[in-house]
Amino acid sequence: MGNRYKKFLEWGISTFGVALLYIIGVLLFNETHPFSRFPMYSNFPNWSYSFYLTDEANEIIPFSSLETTGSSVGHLYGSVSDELNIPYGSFRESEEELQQIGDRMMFVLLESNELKYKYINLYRKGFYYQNDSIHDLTVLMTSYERH
Amino acid sequence: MNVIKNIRIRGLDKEWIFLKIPLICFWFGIFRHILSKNYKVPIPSGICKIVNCANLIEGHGLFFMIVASSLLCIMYLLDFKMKWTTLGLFSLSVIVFTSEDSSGILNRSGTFSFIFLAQSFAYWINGSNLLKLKYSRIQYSIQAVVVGYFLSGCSKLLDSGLSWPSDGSRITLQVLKSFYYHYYTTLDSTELVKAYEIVQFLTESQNILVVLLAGSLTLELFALTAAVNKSYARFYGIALLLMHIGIYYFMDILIVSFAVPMVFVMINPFYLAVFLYDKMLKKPTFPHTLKSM
Repeated sequence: MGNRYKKFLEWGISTFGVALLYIIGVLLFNETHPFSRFPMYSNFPNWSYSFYLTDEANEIIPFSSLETTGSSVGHLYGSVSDELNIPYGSFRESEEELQQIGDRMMFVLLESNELKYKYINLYRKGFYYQNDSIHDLTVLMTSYERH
Repeated sequence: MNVIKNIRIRGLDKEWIFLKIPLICFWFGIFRHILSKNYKVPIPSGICKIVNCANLIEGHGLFFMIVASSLLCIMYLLDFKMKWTTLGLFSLSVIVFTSEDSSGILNRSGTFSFIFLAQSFAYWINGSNLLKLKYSRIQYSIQAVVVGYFLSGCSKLLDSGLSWPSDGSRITLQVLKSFYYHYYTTLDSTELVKAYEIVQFLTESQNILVVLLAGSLTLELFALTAAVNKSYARFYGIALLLMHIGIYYFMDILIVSFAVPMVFVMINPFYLAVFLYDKMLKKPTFPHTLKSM
């Protein structure tokens, strides 16, 4: 009996041991690379945000011209909000908070990209459900002018 | 007995070669891409809170990273000093991917780094037993991949409970967000046309949506079972690939850090192609094996 139990334990460790170590790592270090509990789309809240830039004529500047993507800027919004300890989502951010987040996002974006535009606006376009139909709400987060 | 053991070792060797070549090439491509992004690590996280990662990805640090990663990739391809090579690849991977996370882009590419640590475990633990080593370096890699899917399923249960699939009607908001991300990246207006077509389809097909979401949650929750048997892992991998194709079609999202290692490790398409080609020609898959013994 003892031998069978030992064999079963050995099989368990060799078959799932590495996975178990990763799970322990996630419990210890939380969302710290390489550990993550991969919470992407683990719930479907009644909001989603996307972001865009415009120039002085209010024409949209494609993110590709800044060598980034809309998705990366979306990630940046979450990271900067966390960094500034500003709870985000469900359109709860105040105008001041949005400006604060926007200023920091612009700083991070322009730090690693050369600015080809003299003037940039950063907008947030949000989507939500009301009375079973989708609505959107666009707000200007911040404006940046090159001196 | 030795003949069977030798055939198994040759088979595992071939499988390993077809796993590691695409894996390391893809990893190196992403690694170089991140280094080319000129990140300044403005929001340090993880290891970058302890080590100044900015110094490691620019100037002399960047030169060191490129030389070290190139050398380690060659050593990895040659199966040279694998205990240390895999550990080295893991360390570089953690530094560079954490630098990306610390630049505000939380891509959650942990699987890419963890695969090398898992392979390192195989070399450290089973280094003295050749058959065990050759089996475990593949099997541990499979574990490194499937644990991510399992945890992703657990997150859904923890955050939304069993009602996650039925709450899925609001996935349309995520679909819109995702297509707008692409639109604002390239200004290709066909993205928006497709977005609203898919939103309409999902709104009108709630039952199909619940079934699809329930199917993907089940796949994720039982992903660890794929670690039990390698042949089973291949079929499970194909099911996961179909799930990724569905996510890509409906949400315009390709989770590269999940899907690519999964395909290389679980499906191992190049090995599968050679295996099927040999079968088609009715050739024994490893004819040289018996001759050489």
